[in-house]
Amino acid sequence: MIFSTPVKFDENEWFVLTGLIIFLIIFWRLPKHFPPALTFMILLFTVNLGITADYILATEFPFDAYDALDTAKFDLFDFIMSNINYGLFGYVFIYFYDKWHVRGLIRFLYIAFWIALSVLMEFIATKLNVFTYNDWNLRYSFICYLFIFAYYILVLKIGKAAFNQYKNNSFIRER
Amino acid sequence: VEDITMVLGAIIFIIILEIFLIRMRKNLFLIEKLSIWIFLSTLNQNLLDIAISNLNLLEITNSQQMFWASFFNRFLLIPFLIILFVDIFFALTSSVKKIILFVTWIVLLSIIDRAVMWVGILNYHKWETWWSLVGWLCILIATLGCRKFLHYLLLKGKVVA
Repeated sequence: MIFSTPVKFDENEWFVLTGLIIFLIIFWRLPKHFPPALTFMILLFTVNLGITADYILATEFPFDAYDALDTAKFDLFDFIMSNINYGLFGYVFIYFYDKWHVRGLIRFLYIAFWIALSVLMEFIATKLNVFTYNDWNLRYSFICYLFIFAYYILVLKIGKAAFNQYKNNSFIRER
Repeated sequence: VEDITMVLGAIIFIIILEIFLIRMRKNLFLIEKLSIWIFLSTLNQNLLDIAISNLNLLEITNSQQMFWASFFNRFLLIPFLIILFVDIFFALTSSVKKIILFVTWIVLLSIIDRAVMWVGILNYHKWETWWSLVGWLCILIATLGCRKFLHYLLLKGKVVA
């Protein structure tokens, strides 16, 4: 089997599945704001960050800071969580950041709100055995989220610059 | 000291590669390069997770240097090489040249796979060389598909960013 199956379909799988449904509905219902290519790029970046962070922090070597879901194997729900849920969560952050033109002091409040929301969700996730901490705690998560949301803002800026570069030059290189 | 040397080596290598990518023929836009890079990094990460955790085909060596070497290999080196492939691919007009390019890149990437094993970055349990060849063929085709899809999205997008 390419993906191993969960040991038992219980609360942690339900958490991932519920998150998936909620984020998909939000993503579906949000009015179009970014050009499709930019949406695609933002989703790739947000998915990649989640996967990379999990890879560095959660693999057996060098840190083994936490385990996700039932086993150390990469099961279907690991795949859904890291490849869809993380990506959509990051996208929603970026979407409202850009749509509401968050600037100045509001930016800090906005990031603080999302950090609090992320820590709360992670706290619920640990209670539901989605994450099992080995050498990790929510204080570390707090610091990580600070960097993660700063990175998302950077992704938005780079993404918009890259899209505008395409928009301004695409007529020169008609393919 | 070895760790610092390795990190410095990796940084110098990345800078050289970046200069090379910036200086090379610009057939791809920045948005295409970034998207392809992250697409490949994500794809590689997922495939490696499956190969290591679920299929037990590979194992990461328990050494800090090898862990980061493996990370840089998949996160930077391989994606940059494949971006270069895509860049050249869409500049070629002859089918024969495209096939030659495909074969060259598959062989090159498979040689890197072997080198990764030889250096000890990854331990291969039951790996066959032809899996590398087929694997890279699929990844190159997937990358071209990703670029086509992105191009379709770029042409479709009319909303101002």
